[in-house]
Amino acid sequence: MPTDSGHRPRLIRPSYRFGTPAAHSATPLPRRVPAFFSSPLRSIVTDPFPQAVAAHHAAYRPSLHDRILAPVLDDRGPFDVGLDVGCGTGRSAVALAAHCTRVQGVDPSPAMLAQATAHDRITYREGNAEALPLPARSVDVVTYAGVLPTSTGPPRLMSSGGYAGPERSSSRMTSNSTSRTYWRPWTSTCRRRPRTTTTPRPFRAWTASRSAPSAATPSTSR
Amino acid sequence: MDGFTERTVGRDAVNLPVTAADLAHLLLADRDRYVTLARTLDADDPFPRLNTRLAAGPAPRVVEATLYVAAYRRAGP
Repeated sequence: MPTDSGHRPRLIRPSYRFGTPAAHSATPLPRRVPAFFSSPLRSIVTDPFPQAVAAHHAAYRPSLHDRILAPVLDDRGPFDVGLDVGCGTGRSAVALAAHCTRVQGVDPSPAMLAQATAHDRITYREGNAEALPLPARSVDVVTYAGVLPTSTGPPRLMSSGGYAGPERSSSRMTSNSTSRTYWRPWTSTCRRRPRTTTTPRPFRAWTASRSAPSAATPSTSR
Repeated sequence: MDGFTERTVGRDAVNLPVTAADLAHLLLADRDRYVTLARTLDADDPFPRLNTRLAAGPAPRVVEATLYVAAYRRAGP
């Protein structure tokens, strides 16, 4: 898939797979079935992460992640290693990359990752967060874009003082509405995490193929 | 979350102007909505018909998004 930076997103596929098509998809259908069961819509119902849905996800997604992360992380970063759980097509991972030297994005959906936005400092991994082959406490900040209730693995990966920023959004459509803003005051007692560390980070071992960090961070705008 | 202390909780709302096509993509980016709209519009690919119907609707089209954020910090060694 063509991307903003002109190259394919870096994707690491594990030996295990998640979200493979249902086993019965290859089973011949009986001769008389309702129209639905013989239509392309059937694959969308049976596939937990349909390609058609992923394509629409990639085609347009509001740039909300920047708005969410900036007030929380601006005065606490920059961080060395970030992990974005449930990165989908990479919009949230790109937003996190603005606050990190490098980012790992993980998502169980091959269809979503196939549409992921390429970025010099982001490596995408297919799988679930619980099975990430990362050393304990090797991540400085973890973000969850609406997937915290389904993820339990990343806390073990976080370094002492690391941040976890679960985020989510809900939306409703209106034809005419007035804006309203009421951020709660952010706490200012958190200590800024230093960028330097005295211990080697094994995390780099499996991101060795990454490109050098670029000065410019691609926009998450569509 | 065990071993974590809550440091930030916030909420915000933003209004996003969208085109009919943007809105159609947004609606179809969810599997359940995709299936419902495909059945309602009687089309395996509901995007063209949905886009047409949304374009014929009232303008301006605005999506009001409510944003929630919570940040936690890991405690201990």
